Amino acid sequence: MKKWKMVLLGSLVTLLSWLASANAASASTVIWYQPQVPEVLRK
Amino acid sequence: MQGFLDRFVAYLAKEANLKTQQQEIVRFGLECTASALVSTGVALGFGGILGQFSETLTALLIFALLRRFSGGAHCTAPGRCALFTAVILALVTGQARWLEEIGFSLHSLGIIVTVVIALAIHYRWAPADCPAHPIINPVRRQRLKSLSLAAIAVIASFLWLISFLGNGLYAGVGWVSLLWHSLGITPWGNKAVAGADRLLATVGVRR
Repeated sequence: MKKWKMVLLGSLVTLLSWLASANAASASTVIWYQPQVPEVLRK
Repeated sequence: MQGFLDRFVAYLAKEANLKTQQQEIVRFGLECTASALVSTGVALGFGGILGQFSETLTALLIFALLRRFSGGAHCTAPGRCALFTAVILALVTGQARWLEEIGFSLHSLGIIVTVVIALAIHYRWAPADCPAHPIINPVRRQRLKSLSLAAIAVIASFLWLISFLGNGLYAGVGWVSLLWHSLGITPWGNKAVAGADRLLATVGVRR
């Protein structure tokens, strides 16, 4: 895999993981749909 | 949207070599972001069509800030959420516009009464969690309750300032939003949203 693609995918995964943690840390999503929080992020 | 998300997560899992647990986290992050973007876009677009874009944005920001700390009721599908968000924000901004049109000038009183109601409701029911996002830790629950009460105090200060500066429309949007959000975290608010969710599913909004 090309280096730029690896960096891009790695950054995307990091960003999405951060967004998932931030959403799981709040009481709810900011809109009226709440996806199922993964077990590992429940606290 | 779900099919696209599944395919995209499968692509990421293959290319970035993600384990099952990582895939679940990435999917959750993607689903939250995609549904928030779609619902916000639909609500702001609908507000724009009705000629009340900035009022809709103001109401959305107030709901968003409060829901982060106090939770609230939910629809069970992203499509129904997008529609419900657009309708609720249109009702809130429509009410504020109506108050402006009939010359309602007691916004300071509206703010005070709403803040008292909001504080009482949040003290009793915040944070309002749901089966998809349970709040397990009692310390975290208490912290979210305190943060939601603090958020109400901050919003009330801004609303009072806006009212003091003479902008009745936005003061109205603010306290009507605060009132609707607060009613939404009560058990009756949860039942009303669940009812609306079922109704939307019945009339054909399946996703």
